Amino acid sequence: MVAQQSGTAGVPPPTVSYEVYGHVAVLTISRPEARNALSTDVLQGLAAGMDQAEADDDVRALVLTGGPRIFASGADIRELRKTTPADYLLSERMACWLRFNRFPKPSVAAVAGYVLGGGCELAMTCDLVVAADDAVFGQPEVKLGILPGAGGTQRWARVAGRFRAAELALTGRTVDAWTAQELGLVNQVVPAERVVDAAVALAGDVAVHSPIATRLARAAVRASEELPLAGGLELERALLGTLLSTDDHLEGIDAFLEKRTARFTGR
Amino acid sequence: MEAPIARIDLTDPGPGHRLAEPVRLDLRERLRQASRSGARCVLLTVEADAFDHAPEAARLDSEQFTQPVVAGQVHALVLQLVALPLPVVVRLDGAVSGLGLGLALATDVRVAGPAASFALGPPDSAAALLSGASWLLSWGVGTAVATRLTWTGDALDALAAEQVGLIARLAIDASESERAAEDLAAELAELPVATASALKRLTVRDRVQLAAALDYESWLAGVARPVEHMTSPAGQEAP
Repeated sequence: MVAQQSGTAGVPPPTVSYEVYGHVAVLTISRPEARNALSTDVLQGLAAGMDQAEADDDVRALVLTGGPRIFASGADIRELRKTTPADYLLSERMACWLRFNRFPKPSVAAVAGYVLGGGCELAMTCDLVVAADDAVFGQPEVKLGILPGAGGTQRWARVAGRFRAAELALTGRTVDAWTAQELGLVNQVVPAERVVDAAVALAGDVAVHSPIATRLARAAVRASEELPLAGGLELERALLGTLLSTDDHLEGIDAFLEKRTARFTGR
Repeated sequence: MEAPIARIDLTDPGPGHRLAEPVRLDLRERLRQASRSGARCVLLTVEADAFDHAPEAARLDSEQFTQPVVAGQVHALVLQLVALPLPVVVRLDGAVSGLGLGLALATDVRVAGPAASFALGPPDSAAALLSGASWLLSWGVGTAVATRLTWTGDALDALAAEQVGLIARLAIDASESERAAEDLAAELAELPVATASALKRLTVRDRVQLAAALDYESWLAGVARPVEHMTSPAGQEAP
């Protein structure tokens, strides 16, 4: 993997790397000795990477990955063992999860191997998921005497329905990539060796479009999980009205009529 | 008055050219025209070994078959056939393999003469990966047959193909296969449009699964050969 640009200022800890390919930033978790367990360091590294991707106007989409072998096996169990309720509520970890939820640009998770617990929840903060054919998804927190605390119960219920979400949360069972695709969590299943390539290609398919349009389309899709239909339709209309004031919308329509490729500027 | 049957005759261009890119592009365009022509049925006649693509794929430089090419040119043709909003009858009288098998399986009814044979292709070539045939074969005929053809490179003769349900009608010779295909296309063209539309939807309701299977297969094209370079978005090489 050849990076066009690597993170420099605000350098993420070495457990998370930041690279850019054209308009796509790739954040890679690398903590193989702990199966990419989401320690506080990793979460902070991801947050820092997202800050960098958000600040860079050339970055139009983000890929989140652990590489072709493993995404993330969940929270760092040893850290969790020492965590008190006060620690949990006031910790940097909570701030990181909130930051992930606020990332405004389209994101693609490229997941392989274990996608468990916090790892599954991290994947679900993204807009699209590309899974390796060996990926295994689950929320096994109940086996540790706790529950998914970073969105697992809420997002699984919205993605797959209450009954399937209950099955995962209450039994700690796992599902494979094909089942996860049937449940609606996964967009593509690809060979493990190609999962990062496929995710970057998918992010690239998003990044060729107007970055304003993709950001607002993403916001509208996400809002559908929160708003009643009437409110959601109103939001759609408002967002479309906003886009009609952009140069990109004129360029997009002109390019279509002139049968050429649009050149979007994000204005 | 619009012709009820849109006829597409695929001549055999000979070894080295079967289902080559110009042929695929031409077929795509003719299918597009057929769907807009007002016809009620498509009759696709495949001359001799025009669908025998496995030997072609075995000869090709693997660099030509990257994921975007496989997805955009090869699989797109299979999906286009499946998505055609009218029934497609195909007449086969020769060897059908690789992408040719995928296309044949993507049609609605297959009529064959005794010279027809069906194979995925030799297991040491990318032919089986490129066509969607393995999923369609599993779905239409069964996993056991699909697995056997995948690992052994065996070909089913016309009689065996009829026995496993791969073809609907087996004719005793080429002239009878022509008559049988024409008669069948004429029958389907007489169906009320609403009925034909409903039948088509019933028989291709697994289209979403097919698209997902083809998407997965297209990425296998890179697994079969070493990946030397990381591709940046839009399929361009990263500097």
